[in-house]
Amino acid sequence: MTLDRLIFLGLIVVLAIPFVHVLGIPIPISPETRKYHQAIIGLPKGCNVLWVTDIDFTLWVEIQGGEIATMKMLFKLMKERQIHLVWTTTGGDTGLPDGRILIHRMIDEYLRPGGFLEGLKYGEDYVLLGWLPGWETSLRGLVTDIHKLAPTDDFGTPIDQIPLMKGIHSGKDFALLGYSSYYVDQYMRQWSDQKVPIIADLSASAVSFAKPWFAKGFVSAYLGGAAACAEIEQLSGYPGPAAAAMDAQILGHIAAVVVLVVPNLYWLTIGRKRGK
Amino acid sequence: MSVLKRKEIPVALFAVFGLTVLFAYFSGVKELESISSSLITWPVTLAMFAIILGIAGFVGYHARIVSKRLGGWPYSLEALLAFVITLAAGFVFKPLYDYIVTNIVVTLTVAVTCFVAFYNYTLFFRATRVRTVWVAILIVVSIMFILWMVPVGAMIFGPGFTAVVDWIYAYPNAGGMKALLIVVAVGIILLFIRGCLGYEKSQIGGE
Repeated sequence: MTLDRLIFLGLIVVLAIPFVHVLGIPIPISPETRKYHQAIIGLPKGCNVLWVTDIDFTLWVEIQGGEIATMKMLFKLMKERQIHLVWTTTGGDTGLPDGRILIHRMIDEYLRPGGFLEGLKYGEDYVLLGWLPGWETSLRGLVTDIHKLAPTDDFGTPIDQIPLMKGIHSGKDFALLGYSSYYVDQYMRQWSDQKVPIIADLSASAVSFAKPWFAKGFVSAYLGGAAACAEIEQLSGYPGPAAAAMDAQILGHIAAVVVLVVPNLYWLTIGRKRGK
Repeated sequence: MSVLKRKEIPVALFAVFGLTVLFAYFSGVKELESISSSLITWPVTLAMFAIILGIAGFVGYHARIVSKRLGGWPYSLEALLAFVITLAAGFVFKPLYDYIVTNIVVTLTVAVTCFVAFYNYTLFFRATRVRTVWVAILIVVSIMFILWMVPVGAMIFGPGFTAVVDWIYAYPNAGGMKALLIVVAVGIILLFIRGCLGYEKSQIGGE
């Protein structure tokens, strides 16, 4: 028990170091993150983008940086290239409306205060479809018959009355499909037949599932975990929560290696002989 | 035996609906696809009834503890109050509901998640001893992945380090993951066949 408490205390001290002294370790940009960035900034003028925020509050901690940077890039492109965004959530595997709450949080805490909504008109430049529970069923509905799946938007307005939605009916009407989640296969199952580029902001645990899809070209690009989120923040020019947390991330990971290596060195050299 | 208690009817319904969805997926018959789409949306509706059932169970359980002053009854009272206030706020006063979710639910969820990290460190300390070659391999690969996930790995060992971990990720790891998924998928197919034939009854309350 005492050793456990020592480890807890040590970890708290290690994670507190960046509050006292910023390490500022440079973050190299991975090829996957560069492709992700390119997939967004290379969007053609006037195109439509579908984004599904299927993250819950726990995943938010890990990949919020990627999600926020992505939205900032997309909202900037709305002004520069008149692209349009349809933004929603299916609740993912939990089916809970966390994604809807986080969408509004992103708008209220990051996009509106940052001036990203200035000059844009809801219903013409972007639309929020709210919480569409059903995960894979809803993912399929989004690319087959979006009007049937979501008769109204997040605020109860019939989507047939929303100017932007008049020209959007299925996956073929989008130039990019994007999502944030713990998962990959479920999205590929429902979207890959649309032949539209797909990008994803993923948990680090989902990267091993994303790799085969990425290698075969089904996933155009992805962000894998907090480090990749810090990379996209740096690449997009919108430093945010992921970059701010990188020092603590790095120190936390080094602490994990120390906790793995030191006890084993002790055990191999002294402890084994003593039978501990 | 009452018709409603007979197991044959739920088993037959399970088989008919399951095979309809399966056949629609592989046959591409438009009429069946429409029926299949409707059937797939039913679980969402059923889940709503499950929520009502869950609420009834939750309220009943905690109300009994509070009314009989059983052990830990103040916690049950707190749970009931939190439930009633949040529910009422959701219907009556939206700003309070948003405040509760944003400042209490989100914050507590994140705190609990981060708390798990501390236990992971004690797990590393207690559960990993290099007693065999396999454990040694596991630990070495784990350390490589931990360092790979942050920029220090490449800084310490050079760009070749990233290439090695990328290869492990893309081939042995992804291969293992896919094999696992295929095994699970085959298991689900077998479970479905057993369900259709009436051997598997756990989904209808049997053993």
